[in-house]
Amino acid sequence: MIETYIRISFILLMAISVIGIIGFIPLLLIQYFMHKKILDPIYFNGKHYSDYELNIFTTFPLLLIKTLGYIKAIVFPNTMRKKFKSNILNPKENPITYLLAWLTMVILICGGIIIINTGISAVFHYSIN
Amino acid sequence: MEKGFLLPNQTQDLYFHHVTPGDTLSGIINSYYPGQANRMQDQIKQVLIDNPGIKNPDLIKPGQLVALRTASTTMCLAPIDLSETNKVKHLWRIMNPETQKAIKETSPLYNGLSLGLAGGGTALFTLEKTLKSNMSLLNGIPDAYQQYKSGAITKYQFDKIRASKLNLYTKNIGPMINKSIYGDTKVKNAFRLPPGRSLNPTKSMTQHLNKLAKISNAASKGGVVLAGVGLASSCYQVSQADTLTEKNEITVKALTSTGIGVIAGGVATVMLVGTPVGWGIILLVGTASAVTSWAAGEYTGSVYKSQFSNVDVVNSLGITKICN
Repeated sequence: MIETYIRISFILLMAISVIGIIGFIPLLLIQYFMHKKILDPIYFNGKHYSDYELNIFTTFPLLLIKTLGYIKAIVFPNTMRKKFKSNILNPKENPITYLLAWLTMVILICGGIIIINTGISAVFHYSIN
Repeated sequence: MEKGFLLPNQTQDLYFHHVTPGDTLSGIINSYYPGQANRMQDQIKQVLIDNPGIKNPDLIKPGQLVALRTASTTMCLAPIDLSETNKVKHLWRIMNPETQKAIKETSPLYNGLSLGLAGGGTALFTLEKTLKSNMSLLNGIPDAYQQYKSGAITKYQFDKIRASKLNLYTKNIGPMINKSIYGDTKVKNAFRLPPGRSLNPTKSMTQHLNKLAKISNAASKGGVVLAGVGLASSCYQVSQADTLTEKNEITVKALTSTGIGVIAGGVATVMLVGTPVGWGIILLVGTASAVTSWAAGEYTGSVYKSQFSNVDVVNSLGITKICN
C-alpha cells in the first residue's frame, strides 16, 4: 500500500517536473507577450510600479515576475487590488488571456500540492528504506 | 583550512581557492586532493601550469585566487582555458569584500543546486542591467562639472545637480546592489570633488565610472556562464557516468530539481508578488524553494534507484546522444 503511494507520488512529481521544464516557461513567455500588448500600455508605468521595478522587469528572466504578477491579478483580483486599484482584465473581452492565466495558476496550485505530497511520501520512503 | 569555491562552466570544472594568511601551496593541494601525497610534485606542476601568475610554488600571497581542477578533471591532461580563468580572477578582484565573502559562503549551494546557479546568473544579469541603465545618470556629473568650470552654471547649481543625480542613482540601483558595490561607504564619496586645487578634479569620478563599466561587463559574462550552467553540468555528469543506472539516476535528479525549481519558484513568486514583504522574507522563500528543488531531486533519485531502476530514461529520451 505504502509502496504504491510512493510510486504514484514519484510519477506525479516527474509529471509536474516535465510540465515545469517543457510547458511552464513557454506558457509564461506566451502570456508575457500577450500582457505586453494588452496590459503594459495601461499598467506598466510609474503609477503602479516603482522606478526600480520598471527598470529590472524588462530583462529575462525577471520579466516573468511581472507576468506572474499580472496572472495573479487576473485570477485573484482582490489580492492585487492594492497595486492595481481595480480589475485589470475583462474576461469577456480577452477570454484567451483569462484562460491561460487560469491554466498557469492551476499548474502552480497542482505543483504546490504535489510538492507537499512529495514531502509526506519522502517521510514514508526514507522510513522504510 | 578554508575551502575554495566552485565555479563549474560548460567547458571546465575548477575550484578557486582564496589564499588566506598561513596557506601554502602543498597544504592547499593536500586539502583538495586528500590521499594523493605521492602525486604532490605532479599536482604542484599542474597548478603552476594552470596558474601562470604563480612563478614560485613557495610564494603565494593572501588574497590571490588559485585555480584547481575538480576531482573529475584532475587527471585530464588537456589544458584549461586560461582566458576564462583570468575573467573569473578579474571579476573577483573588482568585487567588494562583502560580495566575495557571500560568494564563498554560498558556493556549496552552487555545487548541488542548478537553481542556485540560475539564481546567480539572474543576479548578475540584474546587476548588469541596473548598472548599464543608470550609467547615463552618473555620466552627467562630470559633464555638469565642466559646465560649472566654464561658468555656464554656478557652484550651487552644480551641487544641486550632483546631489539629485546621486539620490536618483542610489534609489534606482536598490539597497542590495548598493550594499554589494559600495559596502558601508556612501555613493556620494565616489563623486566628491577633491579638496583644494587639483589638475584633474574629475579623475576619481571617471575612474569610478570605468570601474562600474567593468563590473557591468564582467557581470553580463558571468550571468551567461552561470545561467546556462545547471543543466550543462548535469549533462556533463551523465556523459561521464560509468553505468546506465547512474546515468538514469542523474537524469531523473536533474529533471526533477529543475522542474520543481521552476514550479516552486513560480509558487513563491505568486505568493510574494504584490505583497508588502521585506528582503529578508524574499530571501527566505527563495532559499526555501531552492532547497525544495534540491530535496525533490535527491528524493526522486532515491526512489528511482529502489523502485524504478528497470526504466531506461536516458536512452528513451535521447539524453545520452545529446550529452555525449
